[in-house]
Amino acid sequence: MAQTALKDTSVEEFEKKQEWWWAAEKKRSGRLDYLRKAIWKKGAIGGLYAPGVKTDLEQAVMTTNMAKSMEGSPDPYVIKSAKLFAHILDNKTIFITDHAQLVGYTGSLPNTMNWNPSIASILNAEVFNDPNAIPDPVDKNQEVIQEIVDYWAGRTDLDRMMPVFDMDDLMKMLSGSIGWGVPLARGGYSNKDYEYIMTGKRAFQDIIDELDKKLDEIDDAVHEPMANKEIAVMYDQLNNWEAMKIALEAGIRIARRYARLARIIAENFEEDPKRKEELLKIAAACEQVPAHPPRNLQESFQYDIFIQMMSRTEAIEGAWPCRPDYYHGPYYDKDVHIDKTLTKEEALDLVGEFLIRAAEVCQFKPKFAREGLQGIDGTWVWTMGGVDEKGKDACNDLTIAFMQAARLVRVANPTFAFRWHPQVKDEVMREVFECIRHGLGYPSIRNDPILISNAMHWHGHPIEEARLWVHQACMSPNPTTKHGYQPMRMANATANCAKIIEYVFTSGFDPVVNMQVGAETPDVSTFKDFEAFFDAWVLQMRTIFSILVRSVNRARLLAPTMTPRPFLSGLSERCIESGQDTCDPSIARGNAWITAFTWVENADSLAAVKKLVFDEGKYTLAELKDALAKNWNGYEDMRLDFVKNVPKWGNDDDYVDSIMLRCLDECAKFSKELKCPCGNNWPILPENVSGNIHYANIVGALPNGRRLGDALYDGGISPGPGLDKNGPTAVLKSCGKIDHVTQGRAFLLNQRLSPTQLADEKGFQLWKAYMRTWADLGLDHVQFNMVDDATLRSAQKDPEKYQEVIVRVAGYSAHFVDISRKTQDNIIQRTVQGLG
Amino acid sequence: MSRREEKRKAYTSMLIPDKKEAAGTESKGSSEKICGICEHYLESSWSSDGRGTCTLLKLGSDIKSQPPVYVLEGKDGYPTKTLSDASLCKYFEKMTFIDKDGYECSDPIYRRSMRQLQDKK
Repeated sequence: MAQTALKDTSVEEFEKKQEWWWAAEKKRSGRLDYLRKAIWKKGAIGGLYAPGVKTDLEQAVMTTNMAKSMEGSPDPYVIKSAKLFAHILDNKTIFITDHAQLVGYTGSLPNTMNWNPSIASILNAEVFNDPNAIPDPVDKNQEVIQEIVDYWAGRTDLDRMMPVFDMDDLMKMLSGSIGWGVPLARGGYSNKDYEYIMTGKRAFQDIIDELDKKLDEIDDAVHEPMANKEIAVMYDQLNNWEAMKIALEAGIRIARRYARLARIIAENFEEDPKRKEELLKIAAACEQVPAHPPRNLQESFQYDIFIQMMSRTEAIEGAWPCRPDYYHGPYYDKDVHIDKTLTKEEALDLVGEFLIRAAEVCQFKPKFAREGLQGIDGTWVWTMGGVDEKGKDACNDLTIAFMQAARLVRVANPTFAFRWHPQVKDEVMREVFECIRHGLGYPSIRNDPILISNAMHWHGHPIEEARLWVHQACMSPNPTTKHGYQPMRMANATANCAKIIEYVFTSGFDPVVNMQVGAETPDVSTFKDFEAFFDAWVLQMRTIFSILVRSVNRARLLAPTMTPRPFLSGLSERCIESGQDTCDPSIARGNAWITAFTWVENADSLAAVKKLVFDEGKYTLAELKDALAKNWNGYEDMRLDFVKNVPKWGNDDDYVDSIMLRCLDECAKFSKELKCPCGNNWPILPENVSGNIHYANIVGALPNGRRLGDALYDGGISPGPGLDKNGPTAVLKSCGKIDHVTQGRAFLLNQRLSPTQLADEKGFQLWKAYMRTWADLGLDHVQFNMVDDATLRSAQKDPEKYQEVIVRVAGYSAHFVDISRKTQDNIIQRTVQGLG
Repeated sequence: MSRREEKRKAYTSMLIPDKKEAAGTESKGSSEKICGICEHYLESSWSSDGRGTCTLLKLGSDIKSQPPVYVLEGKDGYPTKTLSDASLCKYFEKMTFIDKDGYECSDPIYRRSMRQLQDKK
């Protein structure tokens, strides 16, 4: 929009037109406006990085040189890992953005994406193969990359682990047909022991002091006049503790480098006295944290950012599990209400900047991740609201400030997920609603009582622990406690579930990847009744889930020795206490889950087969098999029969709903048979992110009438787009038939609501009534899109004018213009539900 | 050879890069016949790291040995890479390029999203 038009139009006029992005631009402070516009958009557009966003070679070169220099070193591997981590922190380029009050970034320049070449050669090959992201001069840097890739070939985490994995399973998983990520401790989603490090009781220096004590104690113990197995093991503890100490000390040093930089700029270059004062505050903050606990809100945010930056130096992080209102809230209260050192507006600026700093974080991701998470770098789903460990309402003024700041800065990532419970006050719900009404697509709403019960049911978390949960990725609750936190969610336990039904028809052979992936079930045309057909479905489900889970279990067992994480371990009470690596399953409760992408197609497809083949006998399985193999070509009338004349999930129709429940029962039963190395269960969690588009070209034709290439359904239990014809209550009723405690870990439901209908106070009351029904029916999740078709279609026609329109994709939000045309169309196709 | 050994042999080159084979540089500049431009090549749907399979040759084949080993029976495809040298393979059949810069052949899925963004403007 031309600057004059922006100037001449009032906030109220923009809001009336529901052009929230322009209204936000006018409402936010000059500082926030600058910072918001100064960040580079890092999320892949469709599957490609935006022009100007470049792979950062600095860390890659440093990592490689340091690794080479340590080749002859007698240090244990865990110590080498810590030294490598420290070397990067000690030498990486640091910068402070103009007007910023918070510092710390994963790359060496604001437009760069961090690349850690020690994780996987298959990732390194993707860096090499992505010339758009190679920094100038491309030819010279391609040679640098080639050298790095060559050095790490055979030496990366994945390369070293593969020979001790089951290669058969790995080939199937890495074919891309059934799985999504990789089973690596240094690549996934790591939750943290926030109860240990984020409650103001201790910070890095306190932990280092504790480690020194431990090291001396054990050093004494191993030199007693005694020898046994316990003493033999103590040397591993010593190595782990030493490594943790090296990592934490490096964390303090880099913060001090930022402090020094801020002080140098303030004292030598900055002429504006106000900015000079701000830089000195940055310096003071970085001298305080992470060495010592924060003293105020700015330091608390700074502490959090440093921890995230360091964690992303040690590993590729695909998520940002946290609960910022809960852990930073006391500092907000102190600064704003008690000490009155911050006005509400100043605090809002800090909160907004905290969101912006998180939004710019990026690490180079492989294609499957870019396509599955179009428009964002990873799922920074920040947990808000909820209860404390005693079950009391944990919402506070910072919860509200986060909702307000989100509407001002309008970043697509991080997004919020709000833990709703019956004690939440109306003023908080109103703020939540305002974010949704402003088209952010977040917060998603989570049913706290249901999910706390769920955590206790599936993983045996004690109630006080279960109440302290955060989202480990998009959806799955994980406590931030000593025994409850899961150090690494390995994303490859993500099943492309549409393959379950597809493989029933192909006897487990995958024509897209040219491989026998599933179980060799009998030729589908030989099944005489639905029960035999369903048994084959169950076997395919069990086979696919097992392949994925076996890989994660194996990786989790190997992780402590082959891919240790000394920094993450250093933040964990159980590791400080035991001297074991954070991934060691013997000291964790276990909180694993199988993400079930493309799930709902199974229920609709099974219903179609049951009705048209077995109940009505209109078609044979042989005919259907042929039709699917030919992608319905030559069978259009038959296809339409399967689309139109069969009950579909989401319409409160027991015919198909009972099949959905039966499938979930089978999964729940198997989930308790599958065990993680901690001895705990593997429940499923149906959701999709953009997997429904990523897998569109990988999943063949299905009996629900879908053709190869058609977008898959968008949610975890959302009905197919346009197939929910009986209104929003019917959707909720279908979903409410699922037992959200015992039938799975969580269930993602996308809903589109009309922004016109929900425009005013009446709209808020309508939404509240809808949410009451949602809560009464016991659903655990719902998220909303509230941008009208006209705006979305205009954004397709004229993307330049609609750069800031945000939509909820599935499990995360993204700028509409950053997602592929197919995903855009899929969102527009979702049924707009009228309430009331 | 046990089944496990057989599969390990077949999959090792696919999953664990040899220093000389890293980043798909296996035949850099050495051959005009590479698997990636063959009609029978199917790229991995998972990544852009240059892995794929042959839709004609089956597991157990070896187009790098002399003489090459061709296995045409079996279920699983022969694992190969975009830049694997196919000069010895008698089944090599150069594909017709859709566009001329080579990317359409070597990385079709990778460009899919870009095409989706462009083709309806």
